[in-house]
Amino acid sequence: MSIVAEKLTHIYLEGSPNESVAIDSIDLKIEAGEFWGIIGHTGSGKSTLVQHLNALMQPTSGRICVDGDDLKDKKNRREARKKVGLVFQYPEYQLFEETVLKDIAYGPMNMGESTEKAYEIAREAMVSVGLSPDEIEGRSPFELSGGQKRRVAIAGIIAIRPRYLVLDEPMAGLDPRGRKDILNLLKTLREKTGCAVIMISHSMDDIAQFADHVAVLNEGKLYKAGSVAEVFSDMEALRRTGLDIPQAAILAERLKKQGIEIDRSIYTVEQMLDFITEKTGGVSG
Amino acid sequence: MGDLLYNKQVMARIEIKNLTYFYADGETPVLDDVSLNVNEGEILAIVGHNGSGKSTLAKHMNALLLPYSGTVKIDGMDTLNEENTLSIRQKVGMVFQNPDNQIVTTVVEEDVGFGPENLGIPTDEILSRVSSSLEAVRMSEFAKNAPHMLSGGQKQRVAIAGILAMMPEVLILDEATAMLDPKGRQDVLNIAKKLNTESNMTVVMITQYMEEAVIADRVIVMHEGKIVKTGTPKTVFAYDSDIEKYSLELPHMARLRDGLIEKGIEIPHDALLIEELEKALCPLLQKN
Repeated sequence: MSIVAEKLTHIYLEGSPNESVAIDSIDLKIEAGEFWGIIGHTGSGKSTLVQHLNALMQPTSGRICVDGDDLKDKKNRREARKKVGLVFQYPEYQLFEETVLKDIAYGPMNMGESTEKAYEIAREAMVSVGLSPDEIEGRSPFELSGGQKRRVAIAGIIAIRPRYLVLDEPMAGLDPRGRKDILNLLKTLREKTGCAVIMISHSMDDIAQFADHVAVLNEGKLYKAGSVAEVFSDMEALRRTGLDIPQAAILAERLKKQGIEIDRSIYTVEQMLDFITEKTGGVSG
Repeated sequence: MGDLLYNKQVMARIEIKNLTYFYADGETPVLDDVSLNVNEGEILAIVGHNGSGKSTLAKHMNALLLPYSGTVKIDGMDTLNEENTLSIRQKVGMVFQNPDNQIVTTVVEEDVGFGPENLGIPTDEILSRVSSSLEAVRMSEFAKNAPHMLSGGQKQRVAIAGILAMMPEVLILDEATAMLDPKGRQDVLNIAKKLNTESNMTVVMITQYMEEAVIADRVIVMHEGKIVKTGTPKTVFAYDSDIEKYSLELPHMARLRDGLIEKGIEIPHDALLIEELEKALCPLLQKN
């Protein structure tokens, strides 16, 4: 089971003077259960790419298959939308129901569940995003805090029980605690349900810490893709695309220049901590 | 004595005394008896979790919000006196989070000229301000472009240019980098830093990113409408800092530093920058 993009290309306003190639011949394979980080500067094509994953956008050329089904076929698109849940940027702007419960239950009801069953699923989804149904289900989504609204919006997508959960900058605009909460939530959710997580983020540090795979987009092209260790082992290449290098990686690079031998790739604070502890013979954690 | 000397050198641009503010229906104050001076020529970072009151505080600094009790004075002018409002807004310019909400016209240079035009500045003067402001944010080549075709970071630079064209003495960035990518964020920070060092512009920076607060001269931490910590980045993010209590986190290098200290490795307790960690770690690692 996997999502496969083959030569995926999307051109906006094709044939017009303002024609622009948003994504260009992208080949990418995302296996069920993986945690992918998608990075790239503004305008590199990240959002366009993820909107193809659940057939919200159709390729200009090339193709996209979810679990072997080509999304060119309309019937497959409907199926794909059940499998691939997409959380937009600032998803809380799309909350609309009178109560949190109704808002989260909207998805499952739309997919044909009975009201009773949809409510049950919605309550489970609330619990999995760390909200207490007793406290919150009857409240209006609009009176919640920013971080809570974000969770409700994510719960609304989780409630369709996607096999692939795709999120476009899920941490944007949140404070440090809110950001960490969302990241931990995604991690736990994946461990519990086995769903794949595909997350666009500007934070290389977060991706270094949480994802196992990473795709780097640059000017619509797939610049690099692979395991986090592989992609982050070539900092110079990442720097050329104008991306933020994780601070631990910068420190590692500087230490190497000072002639210190570093026998592994380091891009998180934890890896650096382990390395230094070993080297200096401190008490290892 | 030392204090006296200090006071003599530092002039407060903004004086906030016992400021309390409630939203219309609220019972708990958004700002609770806050006192703070923003000093001439400093970069002040204000951090705090969502809802801690930091943006509400910033909006008092150019009379967008008025105190429920207490006072806010800009160069001695009380924000509560309506006659001061215009002069205050000229002195204190504010850039907000979402660049799309701050662009009003369809051509970049017109957008930048919009503020001074409203102030009734003569046309020649407006033109020269527009060109120097765009230059300051490195957007001159986009003067004739349509703002909506620019990237988020570019739009935010245009928004800053629009503020600069009004020649403020204090620049407030209210989470102005929150919606930008790393490069756009770095651009905005560099511009703020440059305005500060080259034109002695006072900068107040409200931010969710602790890494940004590290470049400030002074950091204040807000929590539940109060200032709970004030100091240089080195003191606020020092070892044993209780910053996590306020739903914040340490900058990455401070986190590494604390981890190392806890393993018994000797690192200065206020090391915060990559260079400082490098300097402390090199001799330790070279020995082994």
